[in-house]
Amino acid sequence: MNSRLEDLLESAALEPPEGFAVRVMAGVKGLPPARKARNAPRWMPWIAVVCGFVLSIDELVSFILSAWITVTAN
Amino acid sequence: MDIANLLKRIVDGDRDAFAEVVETFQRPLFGFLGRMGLPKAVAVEIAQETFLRAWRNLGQYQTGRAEFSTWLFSIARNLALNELTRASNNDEATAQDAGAMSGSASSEPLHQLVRSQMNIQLQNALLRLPLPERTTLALACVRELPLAEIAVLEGTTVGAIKTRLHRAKAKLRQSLEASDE
Repeated sequence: MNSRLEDLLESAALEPPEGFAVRVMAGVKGLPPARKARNAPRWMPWIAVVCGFVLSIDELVSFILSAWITVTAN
Repeated sequence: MDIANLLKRIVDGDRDAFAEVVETFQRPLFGFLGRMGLPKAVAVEIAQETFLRAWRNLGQYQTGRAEFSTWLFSIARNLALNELTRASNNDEATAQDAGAMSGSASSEPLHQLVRSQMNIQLQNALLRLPLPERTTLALACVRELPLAEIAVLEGTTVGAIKTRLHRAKAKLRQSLEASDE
């Protein structure tokens, strides 16, 4: 029964119609050329990290300075 | 076939290289669509749309992430499932197809008539399978797709795929035995 089932499943496959590939290629001719997707450069996320780091350091320095000024002024 | 080389040629502007992709995958694709229980006219539309979508999205395919066959069959699988879900409310297409098959069988010799009859029985048995089992079975018949790739396509584990396959074959056997009696 198992091999009979396999045979039957084999026969259930459809065959591509005559000239199918030609038809597909005619459709492809009307489409823009396939292009590799442009991925963002690998260094992009690092720029964000460095910018974030610099900004947070800047914030920290401003905070320390203003705190020091406040303390020394009093 | 060196698919990586073919894909490189395609993105470099060689459109004709895509014809080789179509030639290579058209038979397994039609095999899959037939086992999904789709009528031939619908299968032709879906196969054509699969290749056109593959062309449009070729830039997004990443060689390291999945086999090209898996990526291509994921497009076909989604299109087939959409079509089957859409057509699930009216069984007209399948009934028409079965009618056409039995009509053409009447003028054939006896062994072809028996074969056509068995094909109709199988088609009906396939259509009675739940969609996840039918999809898994249809994909498992594609030689280019190992079980691990089918598991990726179906979003499940290899173990679950094996269980589904076993269940689907048991149900098919049961349906065919019932129609034999």
